[in-house]
Amino acid sequence: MAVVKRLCAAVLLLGVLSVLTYGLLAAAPGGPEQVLLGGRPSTPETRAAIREQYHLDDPFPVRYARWLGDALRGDFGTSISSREPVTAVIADRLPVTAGLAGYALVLTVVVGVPAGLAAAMRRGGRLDQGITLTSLVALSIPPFALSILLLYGFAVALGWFPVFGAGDTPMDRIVHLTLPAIALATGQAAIVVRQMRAAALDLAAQDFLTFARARGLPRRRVWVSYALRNAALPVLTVGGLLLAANLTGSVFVEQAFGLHGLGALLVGAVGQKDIPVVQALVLLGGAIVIVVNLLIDLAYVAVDPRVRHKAAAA
Amino acid sequence: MTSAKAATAAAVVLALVTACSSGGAAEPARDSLVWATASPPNSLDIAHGFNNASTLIQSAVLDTMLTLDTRGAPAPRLATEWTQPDPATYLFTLRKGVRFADGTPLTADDAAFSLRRHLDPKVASQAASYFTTVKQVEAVGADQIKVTLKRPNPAFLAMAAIAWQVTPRKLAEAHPQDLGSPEVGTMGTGPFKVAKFSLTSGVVLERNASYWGRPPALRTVEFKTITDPETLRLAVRSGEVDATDGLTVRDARKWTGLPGVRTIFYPGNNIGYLSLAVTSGPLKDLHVRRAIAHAVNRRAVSDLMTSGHGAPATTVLPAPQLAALYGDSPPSLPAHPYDVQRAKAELAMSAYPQGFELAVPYASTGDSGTVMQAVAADLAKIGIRLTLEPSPADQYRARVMQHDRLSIQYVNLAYGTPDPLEVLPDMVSRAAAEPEGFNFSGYGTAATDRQLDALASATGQDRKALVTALLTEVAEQVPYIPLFSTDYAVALSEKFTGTFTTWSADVIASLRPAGR
Repeated sequence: MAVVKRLCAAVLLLGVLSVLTYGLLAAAPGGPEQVLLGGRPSTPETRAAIREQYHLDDPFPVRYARWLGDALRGDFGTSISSREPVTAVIADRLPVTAGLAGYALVLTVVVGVPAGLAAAMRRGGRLDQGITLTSLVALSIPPFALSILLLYGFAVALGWFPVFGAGDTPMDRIVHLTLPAIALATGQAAIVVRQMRAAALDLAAQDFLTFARARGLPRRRVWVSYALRNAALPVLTVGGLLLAANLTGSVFVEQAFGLHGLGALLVGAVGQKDIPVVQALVLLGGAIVIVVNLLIDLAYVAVDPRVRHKAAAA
Repeated sequence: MTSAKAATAAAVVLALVTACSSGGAAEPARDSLVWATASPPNSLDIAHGFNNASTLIQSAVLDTMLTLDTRGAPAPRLATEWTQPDPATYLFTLRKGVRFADGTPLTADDAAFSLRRHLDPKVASQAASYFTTVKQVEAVGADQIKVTLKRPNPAFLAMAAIAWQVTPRKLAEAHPQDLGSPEVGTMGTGPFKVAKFSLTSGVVLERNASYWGRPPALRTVEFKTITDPETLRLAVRSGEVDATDGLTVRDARKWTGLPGVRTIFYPGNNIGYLSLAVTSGPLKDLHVRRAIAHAVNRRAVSDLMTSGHGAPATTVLPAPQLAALYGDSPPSLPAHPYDVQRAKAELAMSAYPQGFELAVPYASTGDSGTVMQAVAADLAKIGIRLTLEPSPADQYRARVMQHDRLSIQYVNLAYGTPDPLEVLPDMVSRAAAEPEGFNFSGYGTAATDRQLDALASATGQDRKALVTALLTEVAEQVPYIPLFSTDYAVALSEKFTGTFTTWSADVIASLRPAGR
């Protein structure tokens, strides 16, 4: 039952999103003609042919219904600027953005979780102060500025990494995405550090931790098996949202490293009134957020027995 | 004086020869090069990709029927020669033994269809406006193509040199809308063939083994897109990119100091100007327009916008077009030199001696804001107060193309051919003053239309006289205030050399290792 309800909500959400996007793009001044004509002088015949081909003279509901009908059959149309099927355009770019988002998330978790936990363990100590200060600085640097700094330092001065592009082979891809992933992950790791630290501190005063310590369990065991698991819920939530954000909105980092990902595609497509591409991207973004939220909920169930039992009781 | 200088500069061929400067251990000469563009090529077909990044690659893969020489005059390419049986008919003779990169022989039918398709509204070609005078294109026999025009048009050859790219008829006919897309690709007879075309990872060209002409020096050329200007500079500096045309001259100072990189400037076929909507309001008053022309400091605007890699414009025709038409002796046209006192005197003679306020929309992205602020500051000195109204680029563009609330617009247009017919009808014909046209001043009379008609079929001295008459009229009536022209710029690794001129279409084929 809950699954059906959730599915209905998801479909409704995607429907509303698509109407809003289509409506906003249709209401904005200008149309795809300028893109199709390349900003050049044109003949009236050409303009008439374009209006007819793209049904630009039809009223908005008719145009939207036509798009919806095609989309439901799996046909998302053809990109106006590149004349490729929208699905091909997106499939071409998804690996770059997904690779970057995944890489950044791994860095975020690998650095953020232990650092946050360590800070909580040594609350008030030098280590805690150092980690808190570092995360404050990391949080304050905008990713695009950090991108340029990383490029100067590691790509130009030291020459360890390439300046731009996404690479072709898997190994090449990892090398190419390292600097962008660091640029993207730095601020996010800082968020996770603070989240993790706060969650772990909340727990510190809990009875079960006091009891675990009283039983004489080693400190590492206390923190990793007891505290980490209990502090996981808020961190999972933040991590999931960060992943969704990386998949849909890492425009600045993509731009700075010359990566042709989904973020850059969306910005370009909106500028060019490439309605089919924008529609598909917005729907993809919506779907990603829905799926990631679902995954977070499933992870809750896996991590926290209390959620599992509550669900079973209900 | 200035225009004479620009004219000479336009004729200069920037062939960068030899000078393998470093005397160290000789690296083996590389036969592959990476070229970066600032915007992505969207199509390898000029019908749908008539923009710098796309046509640069097209010209390396696709041959046009004819080309332009360094002075801008038509020269043979796929056509070895052509005759003009009557003023409105051209007969082209096709080069013999030419094959497409896949080995199929080029036929006259391929060549004829390649031009004819631009007239088909279903193709919705971006080059259609170049060929509005073409009535019929047909293959005659095995190796001749006959082009019949609706009326004589001396600009036809120049337009054909840019846009008459030849592809196999079979391919073009099967893909009217998506020829040249990454999925369909393209096929040509040019010095290179497409090995890969992806919107994300770029374009790879390989030497075409069956090319009819002199084989290019490079075996492969890879095209990448880097939109961020600073990243582009770092990529060139680190040596990952060997060449780029993605730098703007305003940033020239950042580029000229790069070690191991040569920055090359050459005259651009473009013009930045102010368009004054003459049909209503204060701008209807000729004295007001002349006052504005005297009040704007073009030298200052030019220096501001081009950092010295450009020149103040004297007339609405780009300098390379003037040079192609008049050679070294451009006509002397009425001018409105920068002179605040004369500007004030003109304004005093107008219906607005105390000045006036005017709302001026401009696109908030790009250079328009900078130009309009400079212009507004100049005009404030004579009492004309501009209220600058920024709006997003696409909104602004839509509004201007609808000719909605035009006043003073900053326009910067680049042209493809050396022919004034590409420019003048767009500026002063009454047809172009309608929505979707490029005559944003609204200037134009039955008389100017008649002059344009006469110009469309005039040749030789008549042609020069008609252009001079039109330019004189524009200079006197001031519907436009020419501001400046901008040089084109290329940054090239010192390991390579190439030939860059205003008219050369085969930039990529001319690239070669330095010292060869």
